[in-house]
Amino acid sequence: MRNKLLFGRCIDTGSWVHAVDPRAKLTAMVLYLAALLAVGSWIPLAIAAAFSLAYMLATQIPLKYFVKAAKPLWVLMVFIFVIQCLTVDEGVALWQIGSWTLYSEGLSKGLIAALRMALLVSFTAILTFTTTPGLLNQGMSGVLKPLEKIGISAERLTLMMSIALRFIPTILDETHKIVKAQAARGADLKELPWKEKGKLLVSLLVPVTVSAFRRAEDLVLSMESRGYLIGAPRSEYHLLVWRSRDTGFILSFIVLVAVVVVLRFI
Amino acid sequence: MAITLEQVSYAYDDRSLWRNGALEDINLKLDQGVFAGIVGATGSGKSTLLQHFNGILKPTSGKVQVFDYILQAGEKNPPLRELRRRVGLVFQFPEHQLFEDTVEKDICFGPLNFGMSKEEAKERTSRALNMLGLDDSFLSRNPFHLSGGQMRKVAIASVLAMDPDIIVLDEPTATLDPQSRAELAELLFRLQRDLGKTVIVVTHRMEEMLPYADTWIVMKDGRKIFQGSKIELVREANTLAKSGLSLPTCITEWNQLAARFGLEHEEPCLTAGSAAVRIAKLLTNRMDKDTDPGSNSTSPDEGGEPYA
Amino acid sequence: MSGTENAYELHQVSFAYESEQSVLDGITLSIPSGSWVSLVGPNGCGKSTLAKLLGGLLAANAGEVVVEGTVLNRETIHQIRPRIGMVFQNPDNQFIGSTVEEDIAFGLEGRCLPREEMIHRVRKYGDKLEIGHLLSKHPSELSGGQKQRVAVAAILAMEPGIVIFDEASSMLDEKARGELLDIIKEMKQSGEYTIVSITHDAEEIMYSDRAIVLLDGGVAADLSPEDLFHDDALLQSCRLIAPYRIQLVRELAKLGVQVPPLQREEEVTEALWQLHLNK
Repeated sequence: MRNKLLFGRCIDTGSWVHAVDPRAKLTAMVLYLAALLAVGSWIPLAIAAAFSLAYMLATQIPLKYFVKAAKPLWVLMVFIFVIQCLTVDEGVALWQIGSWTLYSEGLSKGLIAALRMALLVSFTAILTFTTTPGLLNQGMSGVLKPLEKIGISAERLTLMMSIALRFIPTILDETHKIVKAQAARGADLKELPWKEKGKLLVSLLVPVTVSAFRRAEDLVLSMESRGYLIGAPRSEYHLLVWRSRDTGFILSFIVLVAVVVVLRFI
Repeated sequence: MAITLEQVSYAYDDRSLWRNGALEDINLKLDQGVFAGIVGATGSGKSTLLQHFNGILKPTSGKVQVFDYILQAGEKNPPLRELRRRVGLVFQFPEHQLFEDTVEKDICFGPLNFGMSKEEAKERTSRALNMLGLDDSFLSRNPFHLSGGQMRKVAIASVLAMDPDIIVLDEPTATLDPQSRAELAELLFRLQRDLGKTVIVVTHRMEEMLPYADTWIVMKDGRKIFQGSKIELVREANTLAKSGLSLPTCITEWNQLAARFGLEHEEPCLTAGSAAVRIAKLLTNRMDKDTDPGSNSTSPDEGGEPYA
Repeated sequence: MSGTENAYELHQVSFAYESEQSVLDGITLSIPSGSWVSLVGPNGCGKSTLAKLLGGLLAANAGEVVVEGTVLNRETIHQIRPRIGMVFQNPDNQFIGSTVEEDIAFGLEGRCLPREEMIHRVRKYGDKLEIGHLLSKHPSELSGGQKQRVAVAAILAMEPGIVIFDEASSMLDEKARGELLDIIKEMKQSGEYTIVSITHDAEEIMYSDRAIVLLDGGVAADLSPEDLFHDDALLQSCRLIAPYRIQLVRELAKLGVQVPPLQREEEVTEALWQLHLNK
């Protein structure tokens, strides 16, 4: 129940960002990722952060939701930060423990890398917060259309994505329930000795897998009985119309990429 | 007292967006050795309530006491292992938690986790299986090849094998066929009657547990709106129905009869057999005793006091 | 309607998964258009397999399934399938879309309906099933009963002539179960649908026109619900229990109290009261 909230869930505030064409949003996210990869110092990071903040505010979604979206990844961020601190040996030595020295560059690079990660995760949440999964699928199939020329089925890809988005919360819930059920049988992650934890993993993975397969079977039957045939022509319930605003939306991201790249090379 | 809840509330993390299944200000006492039925609509907090009985969930305010274990909001939990063993919790669709390749290994999982020896675990496994009406030939079978009803029984046996004093079940009969439902309800009754276990069952089909449960709890929107005996439940039925409780036909039928024939102060007859006997007696008695059915002649001390 | 009398005619239909023992063996039956039939039997008797055969999700190994006058086979399946809708047991697992309206529209998109028509039908059937206010909701925000209503709306929006309910109420709570039964009753009353329901629910069986009893892969009985609930041996082998009112009337009869035959909705109490007054 707790997990289902932020994953693949649209928070409808009716802002203009919600109304941007999903294809434009998907393209913009790729551009944003590119911009962040080019960020190497504090000034471009600040620019990217200000840019992100402006769009987050424009969605009219409370900022705490974006923070919440990035939260599950804090371990990864700390990890990235620590790695940078441990490996970079440029700049001024700040602190020394035994044979290891913390350098100013390491600290700064570590912070930038961790913040970049936080920005990426919280900003991409704009995509799922402002777009219903159905629209997202349609946008995805639009963006992936060119792939059909090289023999990759965009329909299959988007179908997989939509089913994953639809069922991941359900399966997380189910996992949560099975964790509790096995805890009731004495297999509590917190209270079990280490060597028993492996067994616990099996006691979770098997039921969750079995249940995922059962759901998949049911879903296939249900889709088939509603006349679904892969590759068959379909009409579309959501209508995607490209407006000049969508072009503008993408342009703003192109500008961001350009600024960051230029800053990197001057 | 086996279980005592004092002003227990439970809120899920994201209060603002998800209120389903929360609890509000629950006070509850359940004696050792009772057979209790818990009813209420989906989302009324029944499942959340059950998970407080063995410390899977901890109240966000208030105090839960089970035997000598006290779980209090804001305080550190005592070690829960022994509590988890003494209060066996069977979740809804427990067959979904099976994972071993033989029935025996799966049932042994709990007992071994609680530190029993292999021999003892095996012995308990066989006993638990037999209690649920499955013989030892099932021990070596693959649980995933059993029928739905058998899987359900194996899963219940896996909790029973921990030798709990209290066994708590969340809709144990859901999706079974009617006769399997009735059989399972009777099996649970035998656990209480013959082995002295405290049995607590959440059900949405009241009629299944009515012959056995002596204490009833009705939940609505996270609150307890009724607790009392079967007789009190039947007397309060109309009020409870107004707040959304679905009543089984045996209760509505009895209450109609009671109203028509003036039997409100009698012990309700809730099986077709007992109700038929009572009616037949009414119809033959009329010949001998030509009383006005409006004024009944039962002694006043049988009258139930309104439940507070 | 295609003008035929029977929604289904099955002649000597058999089915086996792979080379195993046959699940269904020589089933012959017919279901008139516009009727409501309960398929009952113990677990493992083959009723779910039969439902899949009727829904065109499985093909018979032998014999023929005739749907509204057309023999079901590889060539005709795509023309027949739109006539049949199926509602399954698990409310979660048949929710394909990520919102209610997307789920209702899913089957319509496959029909290549124009957008205006889809919107019209999503509204119409959403309102009909009283989920019009939930159209933009994610399934995690709905109760099991609401999800099952969405499933029915999604099926009815495709405007089929035949609707198969495969234990559709068994995972619902009492209130939702009663509501689903009311929906099926309404569908029956409209006369637009042939309804096949696989169920253990005594009340639901009582309201249907007819019960077909499957045992060990064959049709063991084809009778009225009343007759089914008066046949103890048959009830035992189907693992069913008669509705309380019927049990009561039967128990009374054993004690020599004859209650006049009751209509489905009528109260036993009133009949008894009349007896009491007339004594």
